Amino acid sequence: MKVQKQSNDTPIEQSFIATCATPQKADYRPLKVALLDINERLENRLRYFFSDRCQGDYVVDVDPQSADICLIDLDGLRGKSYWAKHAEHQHNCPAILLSLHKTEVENAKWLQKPLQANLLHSELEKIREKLHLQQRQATPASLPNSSAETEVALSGHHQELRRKIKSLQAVLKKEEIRRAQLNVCRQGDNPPLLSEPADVPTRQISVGNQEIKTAVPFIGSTPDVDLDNETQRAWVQYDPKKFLIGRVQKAIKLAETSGRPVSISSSHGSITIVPMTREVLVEIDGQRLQSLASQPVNDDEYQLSVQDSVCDIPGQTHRRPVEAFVWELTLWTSLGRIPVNVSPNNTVIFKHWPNLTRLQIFPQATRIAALWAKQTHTLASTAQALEIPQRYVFSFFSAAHAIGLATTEEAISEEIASEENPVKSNSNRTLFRKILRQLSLH
Amino acid sequence: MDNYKILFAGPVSAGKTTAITSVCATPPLTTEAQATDISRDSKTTTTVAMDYGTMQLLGIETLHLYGTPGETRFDFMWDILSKGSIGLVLLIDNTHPDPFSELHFFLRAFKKFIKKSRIVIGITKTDICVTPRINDYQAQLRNVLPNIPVFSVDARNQIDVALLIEALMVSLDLELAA
Repeated sequence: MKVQKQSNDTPIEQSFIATCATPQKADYRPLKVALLDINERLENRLRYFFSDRCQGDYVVDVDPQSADICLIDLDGLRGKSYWAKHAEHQHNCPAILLSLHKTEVENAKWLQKPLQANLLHSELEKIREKLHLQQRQATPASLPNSSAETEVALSGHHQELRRKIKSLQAVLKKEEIRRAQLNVCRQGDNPPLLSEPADVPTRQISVGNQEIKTAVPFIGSTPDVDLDNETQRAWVQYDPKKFLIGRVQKAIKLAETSGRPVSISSSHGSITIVPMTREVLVEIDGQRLQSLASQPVNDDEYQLSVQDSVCDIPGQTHRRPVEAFVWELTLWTSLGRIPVNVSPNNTVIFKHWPNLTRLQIFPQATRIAALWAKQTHTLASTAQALEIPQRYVFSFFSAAHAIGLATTEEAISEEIASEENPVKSNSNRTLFRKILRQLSLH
Repeated sequence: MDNYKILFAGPVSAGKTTAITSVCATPPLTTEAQATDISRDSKTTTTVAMDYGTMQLLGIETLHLYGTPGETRFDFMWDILSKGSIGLVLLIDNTHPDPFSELHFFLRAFKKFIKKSRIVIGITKTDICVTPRINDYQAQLRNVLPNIPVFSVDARNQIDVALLIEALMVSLDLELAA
């Protein structure tokens, strides 16, 4: 028997934990990265990596033609053909190739899978510098606010400050658009999205700014409401039947009963439920789907049809497990709200923990699941017990409800609230806090 | 300094060593030796004493991760290593011909420990063998250990393993600050 030391490989996710050093950048425009033949899980991680640890310096671009950088998985089904096509037509767009086995390539950087975050980050930064240099050489007078002299004169502190401001502006702009969309969705309701309701007590919110920023696409930004106030309660409710998720759930039921694939066709593309493999074949790209998910649908917008076989399904599709697809689509639809037929004052019946490693994770999800697994709570009391905004609880419940893992009791029992066990403190809390901070998944 | 431990257990080839390697900031120590007849089919070497890795926390404290040997002839190590652990990460290989029997075997083996602590279960190699599914495992556990986290886990994937540990941590203490 021998005691041996293992190699010190650091997978990409490790750097989600290790803080990426803030780079000194001259050009703070987010670079668009096209992900070609990258699987869903890696794409999700890269999106997270770009937005969270890279602080929005890189964004995913669905169109390789307009992208600044192409990331291609050579092990994917179409990876090699993508690379061949790219090498032929897009000489000016730098590419990073990924594969399990070493690959000799010209005019591109190769990185071995599993991805090393530091290496990927370093390559991206090199490309950024190179692109910026090319840009400055090509258009030296096109930077009115950041001439070369000014750039040199700016201290690291100023550069960092400017980067933060730009990043903040981008977030604010995104949020403005999202809120405008939400207002359209809720015409007539006029919820006070931009300010807390006057009669809502101020609550200590335990989530940090960074967490809020990364979680917004999934839990929204709806403020807490007084759940005993009917008008305010309506602001945090939505009717799934009026959204794409309602059509998807109808299609899933139809597919399960008929035992045949069911397609939802629309001008945006098709979504096909395949009951035999429990998969969804999606023709619509992620960003468009996210946008469609939050918009109410017209009656004739999506057509359901039973297919004879999966061979009938046209076009290029992404495959997703049904559960993961429904979970994510529900989060995009819910945005921190609950289905209209659910009372937040009823007790939550939690079947079991969702398979969180294969679902879109968001802040507080594990805490909510752990609480419901251990104690009986209502939606309202969950937020209070965990000292988190209601929208986290509502999002988690909506998603778990959509995949059949959570529901609420019909009857409201006032005693439940008073009998609910207080959350017990643990003597190891300090340690656990440190561990969670170290894990830093969200 | 206190020794806070998390124990990784499970059958041979479930991915205990890999999981510890993927989640540790520092290279773990392993005790690999040539596999016996039982485990030779799946891999050439196997853990014979323990795996040991650390996660350096902020400040000077360290979380210690211990991996048990999967072979039952080393089961005396299971009790030794479980002493002082704050929680158990049980990994089950989904490609095993009868993963449920493996699951129940290890739940019985660590029964005493589970009674006084917390457990999370990671199902590995679900990319190679998709069945049984997580819901099937939950059904198996319904009457034994209801409402514990059971996740599909790629032991090579730091996020998967870290999420499993996070689920264990929040189960141990719900009053964690984000």
